[in-house]
Amino acid sequence: MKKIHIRISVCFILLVAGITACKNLLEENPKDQVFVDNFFQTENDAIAAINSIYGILNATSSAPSFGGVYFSTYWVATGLASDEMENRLPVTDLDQIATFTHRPVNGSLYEFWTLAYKGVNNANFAIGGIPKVNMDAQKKNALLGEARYLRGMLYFDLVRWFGGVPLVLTLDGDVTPKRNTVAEVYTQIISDLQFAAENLPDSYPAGNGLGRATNGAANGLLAKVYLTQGAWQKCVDQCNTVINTNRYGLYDDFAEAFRIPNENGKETVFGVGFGTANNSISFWEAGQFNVRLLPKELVGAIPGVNAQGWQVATKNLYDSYDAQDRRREVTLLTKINNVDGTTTTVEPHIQKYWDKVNEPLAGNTDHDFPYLRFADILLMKAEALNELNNGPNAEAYDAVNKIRKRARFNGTTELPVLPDLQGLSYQQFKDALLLERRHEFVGEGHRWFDLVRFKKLEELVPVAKPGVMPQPYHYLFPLPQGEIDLNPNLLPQNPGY
Amino acid sequence: MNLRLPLVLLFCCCLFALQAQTVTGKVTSAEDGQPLLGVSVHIKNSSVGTATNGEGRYELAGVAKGATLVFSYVGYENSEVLIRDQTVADVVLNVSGAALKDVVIVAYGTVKKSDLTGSVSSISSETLTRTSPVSLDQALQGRAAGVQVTQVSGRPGGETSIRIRGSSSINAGNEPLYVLDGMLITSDNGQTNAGGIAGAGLNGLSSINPGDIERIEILKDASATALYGSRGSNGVVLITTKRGKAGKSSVSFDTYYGVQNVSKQLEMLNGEEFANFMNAYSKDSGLPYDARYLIPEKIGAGTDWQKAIFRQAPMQSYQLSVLGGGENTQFSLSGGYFKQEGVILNSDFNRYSIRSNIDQKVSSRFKVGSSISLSYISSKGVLTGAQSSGTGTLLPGSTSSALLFPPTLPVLDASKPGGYTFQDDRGRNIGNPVADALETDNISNNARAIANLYGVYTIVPGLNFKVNAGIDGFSVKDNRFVPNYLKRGQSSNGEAVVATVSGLSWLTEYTLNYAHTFRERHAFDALIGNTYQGFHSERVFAFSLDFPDNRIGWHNLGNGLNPQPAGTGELSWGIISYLGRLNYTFDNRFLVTLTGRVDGSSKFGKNNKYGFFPSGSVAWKLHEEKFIKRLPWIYTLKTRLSYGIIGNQEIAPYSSLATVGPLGQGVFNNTQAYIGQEPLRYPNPDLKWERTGQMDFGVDAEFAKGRFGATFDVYQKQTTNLLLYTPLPTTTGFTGSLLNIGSLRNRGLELALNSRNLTGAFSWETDLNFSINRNEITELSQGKDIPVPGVLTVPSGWSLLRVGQPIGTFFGLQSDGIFQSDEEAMNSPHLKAQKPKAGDRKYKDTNGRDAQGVLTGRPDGVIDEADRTIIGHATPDFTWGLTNSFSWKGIDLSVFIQGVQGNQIVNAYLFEIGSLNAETNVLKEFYDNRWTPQNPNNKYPKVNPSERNVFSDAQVEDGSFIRIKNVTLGYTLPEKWIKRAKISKFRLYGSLNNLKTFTKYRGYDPEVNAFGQSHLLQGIDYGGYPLATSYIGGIQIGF
Repeated sequence: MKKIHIRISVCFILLVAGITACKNLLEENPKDQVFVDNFFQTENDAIAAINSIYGILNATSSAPSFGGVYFSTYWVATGLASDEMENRLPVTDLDQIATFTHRPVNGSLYEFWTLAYKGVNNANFAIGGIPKVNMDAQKKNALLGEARYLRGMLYFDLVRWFGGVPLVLTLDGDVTPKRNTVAEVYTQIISDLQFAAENLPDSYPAGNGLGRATNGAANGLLAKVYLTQGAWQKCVDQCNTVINTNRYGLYDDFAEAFRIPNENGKETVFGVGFGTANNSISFWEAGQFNVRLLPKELVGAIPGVNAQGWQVATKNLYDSYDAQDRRREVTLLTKINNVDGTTTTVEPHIQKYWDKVNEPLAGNTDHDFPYLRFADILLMKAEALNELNNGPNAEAYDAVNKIRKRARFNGTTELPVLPDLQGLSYQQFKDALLLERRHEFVGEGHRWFDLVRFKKLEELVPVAKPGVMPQPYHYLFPLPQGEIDLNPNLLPQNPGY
Repeated sequence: MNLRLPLVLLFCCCLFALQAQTVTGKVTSAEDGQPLLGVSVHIKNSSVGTATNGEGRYELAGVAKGATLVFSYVGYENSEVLIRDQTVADVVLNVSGAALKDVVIVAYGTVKKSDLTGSVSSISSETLTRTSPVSLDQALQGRAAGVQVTQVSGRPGGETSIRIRGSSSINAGNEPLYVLDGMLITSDNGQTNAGGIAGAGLNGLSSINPGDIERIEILKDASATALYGSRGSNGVVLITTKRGKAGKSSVSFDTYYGVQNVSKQLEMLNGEEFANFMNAYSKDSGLPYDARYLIPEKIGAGTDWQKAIFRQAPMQSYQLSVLGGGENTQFSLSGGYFKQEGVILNSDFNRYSIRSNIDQKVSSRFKVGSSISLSYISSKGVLTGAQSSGTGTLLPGSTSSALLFPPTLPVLDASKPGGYTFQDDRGRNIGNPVADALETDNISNNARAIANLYGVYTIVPGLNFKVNAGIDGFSVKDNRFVPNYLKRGQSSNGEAVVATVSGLSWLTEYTLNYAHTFRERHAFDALIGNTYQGFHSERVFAFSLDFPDNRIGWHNLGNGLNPQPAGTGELSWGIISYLGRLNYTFDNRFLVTLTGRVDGSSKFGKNNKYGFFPSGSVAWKLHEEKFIKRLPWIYTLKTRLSYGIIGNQEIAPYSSLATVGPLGQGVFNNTQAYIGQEPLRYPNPDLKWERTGQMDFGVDAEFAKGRFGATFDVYQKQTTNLLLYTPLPTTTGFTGSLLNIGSLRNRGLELALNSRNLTGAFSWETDLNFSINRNEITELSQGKDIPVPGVLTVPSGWSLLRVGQPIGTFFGLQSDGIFQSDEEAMNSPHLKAQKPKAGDRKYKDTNGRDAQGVLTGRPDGVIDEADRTIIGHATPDFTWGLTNSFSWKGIDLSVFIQGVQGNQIVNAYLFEIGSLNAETNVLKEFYDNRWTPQNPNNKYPKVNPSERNVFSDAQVEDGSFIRIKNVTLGYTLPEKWIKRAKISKFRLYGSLNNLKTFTKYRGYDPEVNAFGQSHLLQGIDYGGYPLATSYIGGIQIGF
C-alpha cells in the first residue's frame, strides 16, 4: 500500500508542477506592441501621450473626419449659427446650422462631439499614466498641467455647445455614462484649469515647446470660464493675472496679429498649431482656413489656387464696420485684382488668415488657429468690469479703447475714426463691447458664444439673415442623435430638440 | 490472494489425474478466416500447452474435463474454451484491433459505441481513402450528418470551410477544433498563412496526409465537446492515425495517378460575336463604329481565354506504409509523396510527408508511445479573384480576367515587352490572364512537424496516470514576384514579396483515470486532469517595388529600387485548463456522463480570464429492457439527452488590451513637428468567450441484428455573449470595439442511416446522412442591422446581420423585369440620376423615407436604398450525402453523391459578364437574349444599359446542387493468384471525382466562396479557383 501512496504522490506532484510552471501563461505581454497598461516608462512616453492630445486638436487621420477638433467645424459652426457667416458649401448639416434648422441628426455637431471626446480620452490616458513615470516632479506636473489644461478646454467647449455632458475622466470609465450637470462640468473644468495654471511654465523656448499650453493660457481660459459663469470679479482677477505677467500685448497693427511669423508671439495666449513643418509630417496637418474661406474667383489673381469659398461673411457684418476700420480690410476680401489687370468684385470673404507675404499662393496654410488672443483678455476684462460695477469704469474704458486705438491704425498712421469710448451707460457699453468683439474676432469661433452670453441670438441673427429666426432653445446645440442611439443614458435631449 | 493460485493448481492436477483426453482443433482468424500459425494453446493455470501448425491445427493431450484452454496469439484477443466432453475445439480469434470498431474515440479517452451518451459521428479509413482526398477536411465532405464542408477554392491544397451544426459566431472563428492523436493543432488558416502570396490561401490542414488516417470522429453535441471547454462550441474533429498492431507486420504500397480537367467553362462570346456586340453597342450609344470590329467575320473565333488558362493537369500520389510489432513494441511508419498540378496554368501542390507512430510497453505498469509526423509542402498558387496592386488599383486575377478579356485580342504579341498582349483594349485596365498566370511567381513553402509523446502509468489496476506532451510547429515562406512587363506590375515597375511566418504550439496534459465496477451493476469511469497549451508565432513581411531586371525578382529583394518598409510581428496565446469527467453506468441500462472544464485563456480580459464549461448527458439502452427484448426486430435501441455549455475563444490575441501607437501628429509654432502616442483601441478588461448552451436529443437504433442502423439527433445551440464588433458611444474615445454582445441560435436535426441491403456474395450497402440547420440571429446591439461592407464590385450593404435572419443574408433591390418602352421607363420609378430607356432593368418600388429619414413602408416613386429587401440566404435548407457500396467476388464499387439544397449565391461576375456595357466580354446567354425592340423580353437588359453595379436579385442565384462526388470501381485480385508473389493484397481501382454536378448556378461551381472561410462574406462568387473533375487510377499492394 505504501508503494501505491508513493506512486500517487509522484503523479500528483507532476500534476501540480505544471500549474506553477505555467502561471504566467495567461498574461498577455506582447513585445511587438505597447499597451495602455505598460506604456508609461520614460519622460518621452509622457510627452508622446501629451502630444496625442494636441494631435487631435488640429487634424486627425482617423474617423470621423480628417479634421481635428479645431480644424474647421468648431469655428465654422459657431460662425454660421450667428450673424457672422453664411454657408456656400452644399452640405445639409451646415446649411441647417446657418439657418437654425439643425436637428439632433447633424453630422457636423456629431463630429465635434466625437473629436472633443477623443481629445478628452487622450488627456485621460496621459493623466492616468504620467504619474507612473519616474521623472522630475516639476516636469511631471507641468506635463500633467498640459493634459489638464487641454481637457478643461475641451470640456469648456463641450459644455457650452451641449450643456451638461458626461464627465469621462478615466479610460476605463462607464461605456454608457449619464449626463453630468452643467455645474458639475464647470467644477471639473475649473479644477483642471487651476491645476494647469499652478503647474504650467510661463513660456517655452522657440523650437522647443513654444506653442504648448502655458500658465497664461490656463489663466486666460479660466477668465473666460468665469465670465461665462457670471463670476465677474474672478474673471477680472484672472484677466489681471494674465495682463500683469507683462508677457502679452497687442501688435500695433491689427494685420500683424495674423502674420505667420507672429504666431505664438505676444498676442497669442493659446493657439492650435497647423502646418506640416516643411512637409516633415502629413500634408493634412496644414490649416484649411484659406482653402475654405477665400473666394473661388481668386484663381484670377493666383492661377491654380485652391480656394473654395465654402463660407462667407454676412453682408451685415461687412456693413457693420466703419469703412476705415483697419479690421475690415484685413478681415474681409471683396475685390480681387486679377493678373490680367481687371478686378473682380466678390461678396465679403474672410481673408484674415491669408498671410500674403509668407504664403502668397494661399492654399494650405501654416496659420494657427487663434484660440485665445490677448485682445480677448482685454475685452473680457472690460465686460466683467461693466457687469461688476453696473457700468464701465476707467479701467473698463482703458481696456476696450486699447482695441479701438489699434483699429484706427491703418498700418502707417492712426485715422480719425473709431474714437475712444466714453460716457456710456451700462447697456450702451455692453452693446459697444459686443460690436467690438464682432469686428475683432471674425472667423475665430467666438460669435455664437458671444451672442449666447449676451443673449442676443433672437435679436441680432434675423437682422443679418432675414427670415432666420433663432429660438431660445438654440442657446444650446442638440446632443447628437447617433450618440443617444448608442447611449440612451444621455436622455433627456436638450429642450426644444 | 496468495493462497488461491496453489489451490487452483492443485485442483487442476487432481482433475488431470482423474480424466485426461486429447483435444484437437483449428484456429482461424476472424478477420479473413485464414488459419493462424503459431497460436499458443495451453491449459489455463498450467504450463501444459502447444502451438498451431501451418494449417492452424493443434493437438493437445492430457486435457482434463473441466479444464479451460487458452488460445493466445500476438495481435489477437485471447480466447478461452471450457473442455467438457468434446475432443474438438475450433477457435476463431478476433484481431485485437477489431474491438476498435465498436469503440468511439472521445475527448481524452474512448468509449464503447453502445455506451456513448453524446452525439459523435465516426468516419473510418475505408471511407476516407476511397476518394483519394487531397486533405482530410475534404475527406469529411458529405460523410457525416451535421457537418457541412465547403471546398471554397479548387486550388490544389486550397481552403475548405467546415461548419458543424451551423455558424455559432459572427466575428470570432467558426471552424472546429482539430485534435490529431491527442495534439490540439493549429487549424486557423490565418495563423498558418505568411500573407505574402496573392489569391486563395493554402489550407492549413493540407499538411496532414490523409493516407495516414485511421479514423475521424466528429464531436457535435455539448456532452461530447464540453471537455474542450472554451474551444468546443464549433465542434471538435478528432483524428486518429494508423498505429501498429502486435504480431502482424504488413507492408503496403498505395499509389495513384490521375488527370484533372476544369469541370465547367462558361459560355462567353467568341471573337466574331464580341465584334457584333461592340457594333451593337456603338449603334445604341450613338457612337461611330469602331474600326477594329467593322468586319466581325474576319475576326473569327478569336481567343478563348478560359481555354488559354485552363489545362489538363496530372496528379499522383505514392504512399508506403509499414505496420507491425511484437507484444511489447508496435510501430507504424509511412512515407508519402503527393503531387498535384492545378487546372490553371502554373499552379501546383506538392506534399512530402513522413509519419512514425510507436507504442512501447516498458513494464507491466508503464507504457509509452509517440506520434510524429513531418511534412513539407511546396505550392504554387495563381491569383484568381481580384487584388489591389502595390499602388492600390483593383486588378482582377486570372479566372476573372479570362472571362472579362476581349476575345478579339491574341495571347501573344511579340511587339510588347515580355511577348504578351499587355492589357485589354476596352479601357477596363485588365492584364493578360495567361501572362498573369504564367509569369507571376506565387510560391508557398510550408514545413510542419506535429508530434506528441505519451506515457501511461498504471498505479493500481484501473487507475491510470497519463502524461501527454506535444508540439505543432510550422514554418511558412511565401515568395511572390510580378515582373514589370505585366499589367499587374506596371505601376510598381515590378514588385516582389518575401514573407514568412513560423509558429509553435505546445501542449502538456496530465490526466488521471479510474475505472471500476461495483457490485457488478455500478460501473464508474472517472477522469480528472489539467492541461496547458501555448502558442507563439513570428512573422516577417518584406516588400520591394521597381525591379528593372525581371530575372532576379523575389530571389533578391535588394534588387528592387524602391524598397518598402519591412514589417514584423509576433503573437502569443496560452490556455490553462482543468478538466474532469464521470461516466456512470447502472446495470448496463442507464448511462450518465458529467463533464466539466475550467479554461483560463490569455485572450480574454483580465476580469474574465477563467470560464467554466459543464455538461451532462444521460442515455437509456432500451434494448436491455425486457419490454424491448420481446421485439426481436429491434437489435439495439438507445436514447440520449444532453445539455452543456461550451465556449468560443477564437479571436485575435490582445483583443482585450488597448494598444498604444503613434497616430495624432501636428506641429508647434510651424517648425516643431511632433507625433503623439495614444490608445488605438478601447480597452475591454471584461472581454470573454462566447457562450453556447447546446441541448441535444438523439436516438441510436439498429434493426434486424444490426443490418439496418439509424442515428437521429435534434439540437438547439444558443450562443450568447457573441464576440461582436460593436459601435461604441464616442464618449469612450472610440467608435467601436469587440464586445460580448448579441446572440444567435442554431437549431437542426440530423439523420444517419446505414443499411446492408444485400449481404451475400453480392453485397450492397447504403449510407445516407441528412442534415437541416437553421441559423438565426436573435440579438444584436440595440437590435440594429449591421451592414456588411462592400467587396470587389459589390456595393456596401449587400449583406446584413439582422435579428431574425441567418448570418449570410443578402440585401438588395428586387428586379421587376425589363422596361418595354421609353415612356414606361421614364414614367416608372427608377434609380436616382438614371435616365432609363426601353430595355433597362426595372426594379420594384416598395418603400421610401420620410423627412426624418424613417422608412415609411410606402412606395415613393424613386428606386433607392430604401427599396432594398432580403433577397437570399447563403445558408442551405438542408444538406445530404449518399453512398452506395457494392462488392462481388473482389470487385468493389462505390458511388458517393452529395447534395446541398436551398442556398443562394451572389454571382458577382454578373455585374460585368452579365452587363452589356462593352467594357468586357459577356456571357453568350446575356448577349443572345438581350432586349431589343425586335426581341423584347423581360429578363435580359439591352446593350449599353444605363445602370452600373446595382445590386439586386438579378445577381442572386440558386446555389443548390447535387454532385456525383465520387465513383470508385476496384478489383482485388484473388489471394491464390498473388500468394506465390508473397503479396497479401493487390487491388486495382479507378476513381472519378466531381464527376457531374447538377445545378442551376451559372458560375463555375456552386461550392465557392471568394472569401474563403469568412462567414460575414459568405456565399459570394468572384474569381474563385474552379473545381476540377479528376480521373484517377490506382494500385494498392500489401505484403
